[in-house]
Amino acid sequence: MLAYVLRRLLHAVPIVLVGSFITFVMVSASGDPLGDLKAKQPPVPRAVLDAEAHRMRLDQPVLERYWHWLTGIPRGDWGPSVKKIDIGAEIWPRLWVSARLVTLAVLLALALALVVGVVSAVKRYSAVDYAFTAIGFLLLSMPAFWLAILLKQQAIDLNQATGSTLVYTVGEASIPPPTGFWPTVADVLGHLVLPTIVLAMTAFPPWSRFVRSSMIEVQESDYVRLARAKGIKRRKVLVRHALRTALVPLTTVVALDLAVLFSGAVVTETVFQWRGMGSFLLSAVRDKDIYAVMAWLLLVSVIVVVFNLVADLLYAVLDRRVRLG
Amino acid sequence: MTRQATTEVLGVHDLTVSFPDERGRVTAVRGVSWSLRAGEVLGVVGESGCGKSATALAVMGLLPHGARVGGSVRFRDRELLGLRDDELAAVRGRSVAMVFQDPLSALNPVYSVGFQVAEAVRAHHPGLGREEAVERAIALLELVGIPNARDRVADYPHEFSGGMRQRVVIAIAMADDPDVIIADEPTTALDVTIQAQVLDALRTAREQTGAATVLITHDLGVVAGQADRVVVMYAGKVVESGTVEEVFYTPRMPYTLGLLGSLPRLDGARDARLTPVAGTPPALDRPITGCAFAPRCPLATDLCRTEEPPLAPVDGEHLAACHFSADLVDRRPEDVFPPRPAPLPPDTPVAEQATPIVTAAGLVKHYRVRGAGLFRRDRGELHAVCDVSFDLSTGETLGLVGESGSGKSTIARLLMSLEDPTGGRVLLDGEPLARRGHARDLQIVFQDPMNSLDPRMTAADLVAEPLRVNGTGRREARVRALELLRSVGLSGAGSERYPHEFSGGQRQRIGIARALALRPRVLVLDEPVSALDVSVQADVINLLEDLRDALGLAYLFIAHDLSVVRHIADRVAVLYLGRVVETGDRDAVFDHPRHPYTRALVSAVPLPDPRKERARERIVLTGDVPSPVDPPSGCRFRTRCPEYLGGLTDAQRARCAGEVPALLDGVACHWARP
Repeated sequence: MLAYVLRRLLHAVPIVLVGSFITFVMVSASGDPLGDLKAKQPPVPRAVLDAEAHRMRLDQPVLERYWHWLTGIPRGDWGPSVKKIDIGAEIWPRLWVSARLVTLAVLLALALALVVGVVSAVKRYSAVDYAFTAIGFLLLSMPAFWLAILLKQQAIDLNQATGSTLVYTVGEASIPPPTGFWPTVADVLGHLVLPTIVLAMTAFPPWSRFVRSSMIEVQESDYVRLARAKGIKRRKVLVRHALRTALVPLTTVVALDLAVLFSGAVVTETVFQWRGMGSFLLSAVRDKDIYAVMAWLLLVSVIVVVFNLVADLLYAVLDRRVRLG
Repeated sequence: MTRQATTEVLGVHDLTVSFPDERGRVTAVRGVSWSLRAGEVLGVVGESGCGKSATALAVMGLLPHGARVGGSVRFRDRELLGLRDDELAAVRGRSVAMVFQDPLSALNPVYSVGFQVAEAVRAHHPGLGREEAVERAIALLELVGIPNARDRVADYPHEFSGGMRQRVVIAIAMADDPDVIIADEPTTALDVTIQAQVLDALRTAREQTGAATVLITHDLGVVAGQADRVVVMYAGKVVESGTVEEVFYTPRMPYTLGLLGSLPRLDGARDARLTPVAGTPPALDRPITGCAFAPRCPLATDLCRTEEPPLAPVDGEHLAACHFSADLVDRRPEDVFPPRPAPLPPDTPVAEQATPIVTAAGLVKHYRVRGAGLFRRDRGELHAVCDVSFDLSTGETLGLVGESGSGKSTIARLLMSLEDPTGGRVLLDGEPLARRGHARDLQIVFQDPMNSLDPRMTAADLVAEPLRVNGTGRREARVRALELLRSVGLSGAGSERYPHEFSGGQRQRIGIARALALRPRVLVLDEPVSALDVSVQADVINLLEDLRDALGLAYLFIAHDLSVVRHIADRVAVLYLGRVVETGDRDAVFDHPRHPYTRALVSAVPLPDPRKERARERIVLTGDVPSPVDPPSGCRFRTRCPEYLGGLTDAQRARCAGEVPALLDGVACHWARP
């Protein structure tokens, strides 16, 4: 097991390195970070532009810039920023903000996927099944930002109608934050409600379809039939033999969807004006802030690689036939 | 028969089962009645699709979603049909237990074996503690013959072999001391020596629980050896029933007669041509008027086609459903089913030649097995084939027999140059095999015609493809393809249909026609009939024999079914763990086997003859075939050899362990009997 983890991590290193190099070259070629500065009226003096170019390492060849950037990261140096922000100091709190959104959304989506998937599998071809299918496809075809705006507007209307803030619609926490531990937790959770719902709603339909089909397949399996032939009651067989086995492949699906969820979070956070990874990426792209964009991409790619490994390990724990090797 | 024998424990009366289908409903069981008496074994035989398994599942109330059941199923005095699922749960396992066909899929892969047996124990003893249930599970596993049961309860199903898993399933069936055990094809997926072990385990289960048993199988040999009474099913109905002796020795329904006539026999009792039953069973998606067997029955008259014969007594409790059962007294299969000669391709036979066409010289094939460590160093080698030599001449059939893992299919792949040998070589006319150059001379027919034929090509295109690949013009290839299809018995409209529109036997014919397209001199037949039902299998075997004789082909016939090999082969090579342990003329090998493994193998094949089968001395091998990654030193068979484990002295044993026995005079055993 340990050997496997080490080998997988060793495999992951070149993947992340090659990936980061390719994205670095592409991001570097995507525009001139000093474009805004150069377009200023009245024009900025040549010396200032040169100094800025030097600070942004634009006077170095791409390979050297990449090496500079890569070797800086272990020291906590994420590279210079156009807006002169400290990328490292800025990104970590934002990662935490987004991570709690994605985590909660994954949990909610999983719960929904299990309930909907199992019910539709057991009551296959019934009205309930068809209704769930219809809702699933509706949510699938609905853009996340539209659902977010819809919910946000509903919440604002509700708040106005009642005259008090029942549901938070802006930001990831109140400003200024409340004092004390529990009030802070309550405040953060309150702000999480709407974005979590939006993100979970867009994530769960494919998962619930997956649970449904694997439950149907497992229910027809010989071992479920044998379990029932033993004289075990249907409901118990359903949970113990069918669901338990049907869950195994879901881990891989969820892990693979994690990257999609992070991009979904960008949209959702923007609608709800969160100071998370989403707005960080958007402003970095707008400012052609190469190193900020790279920081975002590097973090998300590392997260995706790590969670794929976690899913594979979990798979082996859930299904003993899987031998890691 | 004792007094007990007359009390019915399980009765099925006029049972019907239908399933939804894309074209409507399929009635799989059309009014089946039988009665199981206390303590007896009732054999239910029939080919695939005859409704055997659907009947069993209907009894258990485990039919899939959408199935409709009618009639009656009574356990003692209680009607089981119509019970709620939780009421049935109380019956399942405790009154009626079941053993399923495929041991590889019957156990849940994510729970330990001990858990799954203990679960069955606790299903009807909710008060029993977890530990006590596990103790009972260990006792059950020991009873069915799992070695070191206590150490193995925490292991998962994938860590057990197929035979061991089937024992676990039998232990589960025994767990609640049932009154009835329904075994649905319990040994079909297993090798013969393992089948013998599992049948012993089933007998143990019967003796321990005193349960009456319904043994569902397509294998007439198994029924002949195990059952007291037999029910023969055809197209969802019972067509004949009676004691084993009545049904096997005096069948009174043409179908039963046909089944018996289409069986190749290991005891050489029928060396003549097999008598296949023409055609295939009817589709059950529309009502059948008259006798369902009439379209395939040579005796059928207008009466048969319009009026369905009832299952009526012909002699005491011997029942048959045939208008002409009285005419069948003392008729042999070949009297009723005239063998049809096949139309053959107008090709000129391969010229006889004195030297062998194909020679395999010291073939060796090893596969690398990778370890799990950080650098995945090679953990060892899988010794699939070890020093195998043989030759093959025109018009000759060499049968290659052995159980799973013996290296049969690897040899086929080496011969076809689909893989490169680690050592040794294949010679064609004395010349080393060149990859492309000899493709025409060597062709292969695979086991599963469904998987080896492209589902998006018509029969004619499939047969024409090898010709087109080799540069024949479109028109010419098509003419030849139609000719070939005709010669394997598929004529006319069939050529434009797709593989899924054919029956299994017809698909295999397409596979054969395709292999013949390039006028090969050698056909490698890798389990060509093992996926087919017996009546269909006989037809394909006859076809293969006719083609061989007409075209002078040489066959390498690979099979695990010894009876089929005995029927078709001239010479036989018996493989065990990649080595040839015995080879020679087929009659010599099967009638006077000299290697202990061959002796056990031959004795383990059930004969479809109740008296002979019951009188036979059976050698049941212990344990499973060892892993080819780490085969035993010296003689590879010694870990299971009855001589090694029983009769030999220590000095003799040392030789078995230390020295690989050479293949001398056709036997590879240090202590072979003359």
